[in-house]
Amino acid sequence: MDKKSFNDISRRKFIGQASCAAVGATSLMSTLTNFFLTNSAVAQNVDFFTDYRALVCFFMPGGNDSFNLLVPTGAAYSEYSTVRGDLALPQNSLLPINPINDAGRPLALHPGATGLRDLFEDGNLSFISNVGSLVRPTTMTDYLNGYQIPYGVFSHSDQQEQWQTSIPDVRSGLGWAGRVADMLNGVNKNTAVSMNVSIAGNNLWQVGNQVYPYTVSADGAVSLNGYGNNNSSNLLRKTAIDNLLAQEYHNVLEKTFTKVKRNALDAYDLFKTATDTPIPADNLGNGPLGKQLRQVAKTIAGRNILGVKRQIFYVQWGGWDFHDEVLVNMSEMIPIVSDAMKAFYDLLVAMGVENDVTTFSASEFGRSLTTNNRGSDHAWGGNQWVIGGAINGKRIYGQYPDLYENGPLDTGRGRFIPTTSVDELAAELALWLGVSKTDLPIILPNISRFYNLNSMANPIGFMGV
Amino acid sequence: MIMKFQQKSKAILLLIANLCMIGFGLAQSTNYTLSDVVSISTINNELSESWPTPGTIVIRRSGGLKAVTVPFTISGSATIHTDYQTNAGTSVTIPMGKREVWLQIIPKTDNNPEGDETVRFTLSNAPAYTISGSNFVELTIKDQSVLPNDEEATRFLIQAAFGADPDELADVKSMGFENWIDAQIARPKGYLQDTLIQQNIIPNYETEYNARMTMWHLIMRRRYPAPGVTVPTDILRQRIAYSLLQIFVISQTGDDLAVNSEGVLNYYDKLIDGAFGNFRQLLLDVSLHPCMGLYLSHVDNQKPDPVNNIFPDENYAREIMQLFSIGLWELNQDGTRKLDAFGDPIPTYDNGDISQFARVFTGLTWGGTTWHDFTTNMVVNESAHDTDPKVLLNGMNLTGGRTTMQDINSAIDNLFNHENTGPFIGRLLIQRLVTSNPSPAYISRVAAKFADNGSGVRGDMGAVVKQILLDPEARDLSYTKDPTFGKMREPYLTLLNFAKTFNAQPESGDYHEANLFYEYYLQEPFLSPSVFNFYSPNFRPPGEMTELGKYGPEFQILTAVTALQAPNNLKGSLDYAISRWGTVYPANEMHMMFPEELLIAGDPDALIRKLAVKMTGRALRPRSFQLIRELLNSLPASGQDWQQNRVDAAVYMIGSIAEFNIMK
Repeated sequence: MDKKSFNDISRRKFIGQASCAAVGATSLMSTLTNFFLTNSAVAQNVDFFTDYRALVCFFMPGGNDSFNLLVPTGAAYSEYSTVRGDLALPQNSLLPINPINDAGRPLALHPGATGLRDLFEDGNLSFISNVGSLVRPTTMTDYLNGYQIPYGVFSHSDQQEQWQTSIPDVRSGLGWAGRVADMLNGVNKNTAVSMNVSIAGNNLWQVGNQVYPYTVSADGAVSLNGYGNNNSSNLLRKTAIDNLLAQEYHNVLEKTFTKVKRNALDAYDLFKTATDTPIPADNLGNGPLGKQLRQVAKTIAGRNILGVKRQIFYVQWGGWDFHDEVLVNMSEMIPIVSDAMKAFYDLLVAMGVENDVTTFSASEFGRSLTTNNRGSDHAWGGNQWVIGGAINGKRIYGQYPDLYENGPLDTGRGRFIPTTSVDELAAELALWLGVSKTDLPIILPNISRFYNLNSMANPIGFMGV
Repeated sequence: MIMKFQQKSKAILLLIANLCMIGFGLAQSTNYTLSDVVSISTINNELSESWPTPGTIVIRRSGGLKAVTVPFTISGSATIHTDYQTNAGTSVTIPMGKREVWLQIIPKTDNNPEGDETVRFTLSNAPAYTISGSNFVELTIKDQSVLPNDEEATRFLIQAAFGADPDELADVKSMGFENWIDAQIARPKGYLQDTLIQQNIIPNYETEYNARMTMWHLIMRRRYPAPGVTVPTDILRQRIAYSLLQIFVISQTGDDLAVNSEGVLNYYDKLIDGAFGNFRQLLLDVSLHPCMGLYLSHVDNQKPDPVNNIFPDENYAREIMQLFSIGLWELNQDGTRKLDAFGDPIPTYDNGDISQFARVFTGLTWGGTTWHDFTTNMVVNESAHDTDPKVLLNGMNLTGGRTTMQDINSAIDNLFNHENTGPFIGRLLIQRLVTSNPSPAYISRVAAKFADNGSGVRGDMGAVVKQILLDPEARDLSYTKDPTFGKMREPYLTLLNFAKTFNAQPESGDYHEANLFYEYYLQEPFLSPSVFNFYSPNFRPPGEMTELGKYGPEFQILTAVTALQAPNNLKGSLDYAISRWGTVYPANEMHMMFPEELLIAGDPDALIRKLAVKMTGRALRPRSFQLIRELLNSLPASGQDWQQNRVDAAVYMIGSIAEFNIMK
């Protein structure tokens, strides 16, 4: 059996388990959501949630060197500066923060991260330290024995895929946000525009069995010129195009192409109307990241027109693979990200939805603590943040590691085994969106390796219960 | 697998047009009581024994809604069952409410030299209807031939070149595929750096524009060479180099390469050399080029510095394995993954191997005599090279004390001779040229050529390219019936396909590419967002293709925006120009030319037949043909520019649908 068919079977098994789970589910939510997962078109319960919630993923492709974002200071600084060598930020340049909880050491932020600092100090941002893709809780012995290690660990493409699927031991064609959307989509009374909206192109994260991302640009959607009812010649074209797109194709590529185009046409009018809703002035500027986040805000502002109670957004910016000149590049890019995060949150406050929207950062891996001469190489665990009015802010979650070489987590050159898994991060966010604990294993098949599903506490704890 | 599809003789079906009330004129004039007016035409009429696509005869009616039976006779010099099969008997009934029925004939292949044979369908008179126009159609069946017809040659040029340029089409038809490839391999190389310098392309524009601009010139300029300049016509080599650029990716998205187009083109010329050269040399050339050295940061990579705890940069070490040679998993020669005793795939390398290769790629620095010369290969700074012993893949030991180039040559040998390299690179190139999901048998035939070109040489890229393009899976029509065959036409190739097929020319002779192309389509040469190209070879579009485990790399950049931007830009190209410079530089505007099509705009059937073959290398599906024809018929056949309007509408519709956008 080749790998492809092996994976296909694994995947079908996974889907099969998901469907079977509905039979034994007991809670009302479980029954409903599994029913949605099986056939969301039939099971509509738009009254199930009374509130609106949205999740925003900000992805940093290339691997953000995030141990230079969240940095030990005070007595722990010398350990940091030793291991980082020429990559160490000067201690007096760091921005102090004052976490509510004890992270084991004083921490500070990259000098360019004033926006993140302000969000943190105001209680609207928390960090999750040393998080990454794991198959199961992993020790150094496991690593050395190659026991259930994510495939392609340290590689861009594989770690990006695993952050997005959260199934690092199987190649899955579905992302965890897609699976969440499969489960929750039934609460949206209108599905003409997908509840999963990407402002940054196609991505695996938002692909479910039934819900696929609606991919627009930072400038929004585009219309098809000359397609409309406004005059007879356009109507003729529209009729021809509609009939051409209504054809059944035998070839799956032709079928897929036709479907994408049809969906784009179907979603356009509603999305355009919804995102024309005026939003307050903002400080997002007109850079690519600011424009993407503004497009998210516009889509959130149009939620009632779109007829949705749950939405998931994907935003992406930058190339963070700095094998060279990491300090220079981060000094340019961190302020852009940090200011954009602050401006986006401020805009959500102005819109009155800051408690309804949670934004989290992601990047495929952290980078080696040791230097290759002004650059750093691919590693594994890294530090991420969550932002929102609904979170327990001003805290450091996870276990911030001691930054020295050859310690218990170091697989070499300061590439640390993650101590918090993407599964736990995803689970906490999925629970907040409304997925039940019983249903978590459907979305995150490995979650019970990291989290006792009977626990009263959240997997990480950053979302208010 | 592939051959499980129906036998040709069984595939004959009576195709009936679906009821549809499109086309206002038709809908309004349709009346249950009116008598019928019947006509006969074809969706394609030039058939070939060696390319046995079915010929489709269409019998249409207007006026009535009731079922009507139309008798006909079949005559002509071809003999049924001997020269062709058909689903047509002696009459056909157009069911109630339908407006068209389709009949098919399928040529039978024999080796007899019969000359052109004809099949004529003649409508008989009957009281139930009157006949409009000619009462017959005639289809021609050409003999089995070693030379391709228009359809075959066009399809080939969509795969092997940048679309059916009229000159290339004539060459392919007169030479046949293999001779054409051999002739292309023998042609002088069209180097882009020379083109940039000799033709003095746009010296005053920002220089990052120059690299993609030069490529566009070189591909397009055959018709308008600048005075005194010999224009390269090695279009196959250009297409392969363009494909290699999507494997050995460098990008001008970073500042340094953005302002060094000459260096970027110098790098591209290594891909020109490698297109039919040896893969080992290609891998070495890529590894030593300063643009790659900068892009993947191995220029000035230094040996370990234990005092300062500095390690060699692992960037190039990783990507040369993951992307440029062997990939992540041990492969069989047919491209499938080897599995261990537990059924798991086997990684080709681990991080320990990467650190060994990282130490190999220490000691390279800038060459040339000027500061950061991007057009001279990197040179050696032995004092920066790690001379400790190293262990490469498959237990290859490098003893201590060797020079930088000794180590690098050993590493290149190590990867070049790895069992994975043939199937890994073979699959990637097949995906660029022919189909997204090649069968294991196809990959293994290409990998076998990589291993041995027939003369005992490993890595002969000319032989690999030839196998990819002449392989039965690329050439045999029956493979296209596999529901997973083909690939999405990538945006940049689509643009070039239009420009070449319709001979787009600017008055100035300066070929300016469409502006904002990347912004519209998420693809443009030299602008990949990362070393992972615009799309992954392993991207699976959501839905049925994911469920089937099938890849569609180009679908990764098909979004709700690009899916509609593409037809919008096609419309703009037809209404205005391919590159729109408006009143600023009107002489630079490139207009597609339709001299043959304008002459037949009054006959939508003939117009669609011609455009379908030029654009897709095959006839349209009868239903698509019907829908486009009805749109054209609704456009006036008089007034200013009516011919152009009809041609534009036909090109737009064909260019917008799946039959065009999926090349197969």
